[in-house]
Formats: sequence, C-alpha cells, structure tokens
Amino acid sequence: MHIPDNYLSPQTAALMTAIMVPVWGVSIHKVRKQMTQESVSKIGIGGAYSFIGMMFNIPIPGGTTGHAVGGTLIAATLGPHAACLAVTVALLLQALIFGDGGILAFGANCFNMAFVMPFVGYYISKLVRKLLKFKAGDIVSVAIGSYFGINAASLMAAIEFGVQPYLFKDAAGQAMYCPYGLNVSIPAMMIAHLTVAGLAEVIYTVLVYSFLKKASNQKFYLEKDFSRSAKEIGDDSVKEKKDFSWILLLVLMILTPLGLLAEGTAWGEWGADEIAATGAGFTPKGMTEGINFEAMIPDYSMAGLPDIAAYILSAIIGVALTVVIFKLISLTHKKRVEE
Amino acid sequence: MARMEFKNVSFSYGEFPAVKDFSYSFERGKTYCIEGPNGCGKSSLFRIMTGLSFPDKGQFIFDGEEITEKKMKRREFATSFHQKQGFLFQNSEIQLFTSSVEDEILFGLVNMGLPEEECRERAEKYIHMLRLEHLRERAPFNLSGGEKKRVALASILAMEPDVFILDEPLNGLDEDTQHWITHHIDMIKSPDRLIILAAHDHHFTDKVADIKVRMNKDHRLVEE
Amino acid sequence: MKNSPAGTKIMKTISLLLKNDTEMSKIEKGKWVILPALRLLFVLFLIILISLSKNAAFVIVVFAGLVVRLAMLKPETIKMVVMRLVPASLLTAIIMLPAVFLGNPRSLIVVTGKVICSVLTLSELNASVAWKDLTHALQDLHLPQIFILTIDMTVHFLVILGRVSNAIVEAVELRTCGKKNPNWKKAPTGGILGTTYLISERMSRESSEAMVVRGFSGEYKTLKKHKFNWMDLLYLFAFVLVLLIFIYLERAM
Repeated sequence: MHIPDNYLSPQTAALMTAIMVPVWGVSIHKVRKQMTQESVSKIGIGGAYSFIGMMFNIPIPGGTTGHAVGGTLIAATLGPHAACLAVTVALLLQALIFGDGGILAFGANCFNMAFVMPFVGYYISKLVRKLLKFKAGDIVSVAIGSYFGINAASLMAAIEFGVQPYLFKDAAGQAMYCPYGLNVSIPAMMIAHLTVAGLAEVIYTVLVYSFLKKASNQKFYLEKDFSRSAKEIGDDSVKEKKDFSWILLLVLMILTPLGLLAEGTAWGEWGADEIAATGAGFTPKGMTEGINFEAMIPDYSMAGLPDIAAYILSAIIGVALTVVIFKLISLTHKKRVEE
Repeated sequence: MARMEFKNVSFSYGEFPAVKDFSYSFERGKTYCIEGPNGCGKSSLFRIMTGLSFPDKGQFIFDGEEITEKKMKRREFATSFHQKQGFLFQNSEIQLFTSSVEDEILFGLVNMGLPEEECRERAEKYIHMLRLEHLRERAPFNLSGGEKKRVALASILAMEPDVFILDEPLNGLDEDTQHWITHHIDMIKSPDRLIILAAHDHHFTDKVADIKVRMNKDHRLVEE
Repeated sequence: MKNSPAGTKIMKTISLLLKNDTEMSKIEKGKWVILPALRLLFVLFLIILISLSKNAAFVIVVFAGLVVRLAMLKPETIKMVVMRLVPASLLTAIIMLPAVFLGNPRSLIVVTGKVICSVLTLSELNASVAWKDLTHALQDLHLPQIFILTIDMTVHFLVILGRVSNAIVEAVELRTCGKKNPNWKKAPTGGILGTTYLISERMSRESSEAMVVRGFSGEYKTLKKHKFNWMDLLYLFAFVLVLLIFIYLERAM
C-alpha cells in the first residue's frame, strides 16, 4: 500500500502532509501525557513489528502483491496515538533508506497507514470488545478491527490514486500522475485488501497479539476498561515478569525472505518503467519528469549480496533503528506518569 | 630503635630552600605534631617521609634503613615501604582518583596483594567505620569536602599501616566531623603505631599530640 | 545557549567532551561478562576490516550489527553515543561533499558510512567497558607497561584538565562582575590557558603520587577474575563470522 513518488500530484501530497501535521502533533502530545519512559521504548518494538509485517509480501491473484501493516495491533496494545507514531517511524525509515514509499508521498502514506488504519482499527476493536465479553474476546475484536482498519486505509489510498487523472492533466489531456481513475483504483485496491491482504493483516495481528499477551509484561491499551485494575497504559508495575516481546520479532526477522517469493509488484507501486505495460499505454509526465530519490538500500537489495541476505539485513536495520529512535524519544518523557 | 630518623636533612625546590639541617628521631607508639608558620617546610618533610622526595643533604632513615632514590627505584622495596605508611594529603581532591568509593578503598588493598576475601572484608569494615555505606557507588569526585576526607581516611586506614602521616587533617571539615576525627585519632593510637600530624589548631594538637615539633620561618627545627 | 564568544565556547566544549568520558564509563556497569581484552581486540579488528573493505555491502553488514548492539543499550547511553556520532559524521560528509559534485556520490556515502561504523564501535566499547577495565585489557594483550601507564596518565590528565578548565571559565565569568558575556578580548586568555595547563599538570602529577603512596607500582591489579564462558565463545564466533563475510564480499567484488 506504499504510494511511491510521482503518483500523487504535489498538491495532493502537500494536502495530505498538511492534514497529518496536526495529527502528529496530537499524537505526540497524548503519548507525552500518557506514557512513561519505559513504555515509550516499547513503542519501538511495536514499530518494529509493523516494519517486519510490511516485508512479508503475499501474492494476490492478478499479479500484484499485498502485505500486512500491523497498525491496529499497535493501537490495541499501546493505543492509537502510539500506533500513529510507530507506523510513522517505520514508514519514514522505509522511504528514506529503502525507497519503499515516496518522499513527497510520505504524508499520504502516513495518513492511510498511520492515521486511518490504527484509529479505525482501534475503535472498531473497542466496539466489538464491548460485545464479546469473554476472555479471548480481545483477540477476536482485534482480528475484526484490523480487518476493517486495513481496508479503510486501502480505500483511502485508492481514492487518493483515483482522483489524480480527473484533477491533474497535462496540456494534451493525459494524466500527469496516477493514470487510473476511481473506477479502476477502487476495485483493484479493495479486491486485493478485502481478500488476501486483509487476511494477511488479520493473521499477522492475531499472531503477534496473542504472543504479546503471553510474553509482554504490560497491560494492553484495549483492555484498560476491561481489566479490574485499570492503571496507566504500559505500566510496568508488573515488573516481576520479564519482557519477552522481542522474541517473536527475531523469529520473524529470519523468516522475512519468504516475502521475496511473491513476485510482481503491488498495485500502485510500479516503477516509471513498468507503468505503461500495466494497461495505461503511456508513461505519465509526472513520472518521467518528477522527483527521483535514490535510497541507500533500494528495494531492500544490495549489490554484492544475495537477495535473501540483503532482505534479512534490511529487516535487521529497520528493526534496530526503530528501537533506537523510540529509545531516544523516550528520554524526553518522565519516568512516572503524573496522576 | 627509632622508627624514623632525620639526620641533618636539607632539601630545596630548585633554589628555594624548604628544609634546613633538620635532625630528629620519631619513636614508635607516640603521636607527634609538627607545627610552624606557613611555608616553614612541613609538607616537604612529609614528602621525604613518604618517599616522594629525597634529601639533598643528610639522611632519612626508616626502620634502620636509609631511604634513597636508588633504593626506591626497586619495585619490591618501594611497595613494601609504602605499605607501611598511610599518608593523608592536605588536599583530599587529588588523593581520590577512582570511579567509586568502594574502588577507592579497595585500591590500596589490591595493590598490597591481599587475597580477595580479605580485601572485601577490610573494605566493608572501614566503609562501616567511616559511615560511607550510602556513598559506596558514588564517584569520589562528586562528594562534599567532608565526605571526600572520610573516603581518603578510609582508604588509608584500610591498609592498616603502622605509620600514619596526616597533613592538616581537619582542613575544611565541619565541627562535628572535626570532633569525630579527633576522637578517631585517639582510637588508632597503639604502642606500635607512629602518628605524625601537621596542624594549626592548638586545641586539636593539645588534645591529640604527645610531642610537638616546631619549625620556624627559616625552615629549621626550633629546639624545645 | 548564550551568545558566548569563541574563548568561552572552546573552553566549554573541551570540558563537555572530557566530562562525557568519566560519566559514560559508569553508565553500563558490566561485570566482565566478556573479557575486556577480547572486546578490545574485536573492536580493533572490526575497524581495520572496515577501513580495508572496498565493498559498500560489508560496511552495511557491520552497520547492521552495530545498530542492533546500539538498540540493546539504555536510552541515556544511546543518546551519548549518538551525540558523539553526529559531529564525526557531519564533518566527514562535509569533507566528502566535493565527491558529489565530481560525479561520485557513492563515495560520500561509503566513506561516511565507514566513519560512522568506526565511531559507533568505539563508542559502544566505551559505553560497555569502564576505562579501568580497558587498561586491564591492554595489560592482558601484553602491551608494554610504559605504554599503558602513559595512556592512563594521559586520560586522567585530560579528565582533570576538563574539570579545571570548567572551573576557570566559571571563575573568569564571576570576576567580570555582573556582565553576562566576559570580554574575552580583554581577558588574558594566554595566561588563563597557561595556568589551566599548569594546574592540571600539577594535579595529575600529585594524583600519580597519591597512587604511588598507596602501593601502586605500575602494574594494574584487579580483584575481578574471569572464567572463560559461553559469551566469550560467542565473541570468538563473531570474530570468525565477520572475517568470513569480509573475505566473501571482497572476493565478490
């Protein structure tokens, strides 16, 4: 679902970024108020799971691929605001270091995956949770919430893609950016995400959530209204238990090369050289003359290293940097939350 | 036999004389106080006593053996010499150079080559004695003046030397700690121990010293 | 940050840099889980390989390992390490900037990457091993006693220098009675710097005397005993692994 550069007009990109600025501001503020230093470090682990989730590409009939994002997962464990920040950082690293997702399109990608997904996913999970009061009810509600979350995000992306040809044409009447209108983008993205990608998201979310339930030593955001002692989010007063949330992360990191098996590019993530062949018949002007950012480890591959090794290495770097970034951010937080 | 003997010792820093023709015997079991105006040469005497400087003229004899620069170059000789003495510097700042109080106290013990058990036991004993438990992990550099002095004292006490040389031990301490140190010096006196102090405070020296050794402005010993 | 003239800035920077050294060694107080000598050797080994490598891929592999290590440290330590990294990398990037204009942007990234890796690995060593354990490491590696002594005394001297210069800057500021920015043009900076040096030199000499008087004879002794355990083995394994990766990647070029 990563929108590359030159698929959205600069105006669209600017608009989406402008919308995200207050969202980021609010999230930073809320996380500041609600979370202690140690739990902010945990957001790093959440961000890492999101990063890894996005590396498991799954083939979708029709020749494209999709992947899980994990936005709802983080929202359920640490809260939607924390999830917003976590996914933002993951997307940032992907865009800057790996060239996955555009630089100008960063705002739009965050809007879809760091804002719409976690919030929609969270509130639906919460709604369902109220109805399913049994013990494993949280897992089911998170499954349902994540499904809605990823589809809401993909709908947004589809709309962002689809309005481009109507609004932004060159002198010859041809689309300058994404050449496919709503009539193509919406079905394409939604079919992929209502089926395979949605399923991937649900499975990933349930898998990691259940693991964290046993391995993590903190109370989950989603459960704060349902457990008897509703304390601060991510409160580590349960200190007797050691935190093992990173173990699954290690396992998944090693398994990431499975994501290389899926050939084909996800819908809307084609390079400038591929797009004419996908049915448009031409290469939009915005792509030939637009911004061209050269990432350090483009597409998670490196000259001199076999693809599998480069992929795992990229996973390692992405995870480690996410953890480091949030540990640094945690320094600006207090050790204890004020009452 | 005198523990320490000075025979016509003269010493100068370049062209500036510090000690002129000093002769004296220091006996075991007694507490001496070296008094005199600032600049009379007390600190220089201490430097000679602890083997940090050597007389230009005359002899300094410790336990019957003359201490010369050549002899002190031998590692085993120097180490055993230093182990017999505990020197409290006037400025505790420079005396403390490790990263924790516990390390500071262990330093001398480890250098003495004592087995681990004993090092730890002694460190514990003196940490308790000087009430340093709550400062154990702190860096000596960050402590207050009084605390620094206690740490310095603990680190030389732990080595359990026979000779104690204390250069202005009450310097910079509050009244309570001053009382405490005075009391403590009384406690460490024994028939085997030689204690030499330098201090200005007459109340203190009257209480603590058996014999007073006076030096004058001219860097000479004043005959009693 | 005050608008201080160059003099104060220099003094303050020096004392800040030197302050970091003493504090960092206390932050991650390891209990010799891994023999310090082994760690030191590994770091040197890594730095040599990094500078020898002609392959960007090797630098990235090493970088990945170092970032993982970084992620395992405490937040405060990470901050200190990163703060050291930034000036070194910026400086390198600026120096290498002409390469971009000459049409070889790749070399800017590779050289900066190498500098980042070298500084990272040294800072991480600094963060996990106390200075006095490093002196033991040097001893274990049979470095001549005189070298270790000189290095140790120099480090102590620098630490003392930092404190003294800090104090002197404060003293000067106090003596310029009420003015916010001491007029360093009028201040006898030469004399101040000279005095700073002399004071520090004397203090470090007295510090060595204090060590001698407590029985120090040039040999660094310690109570810590180290049993060769599986963590050491892991380190040796890492040695071999890194070497193999290096050889493989260099062959591939």
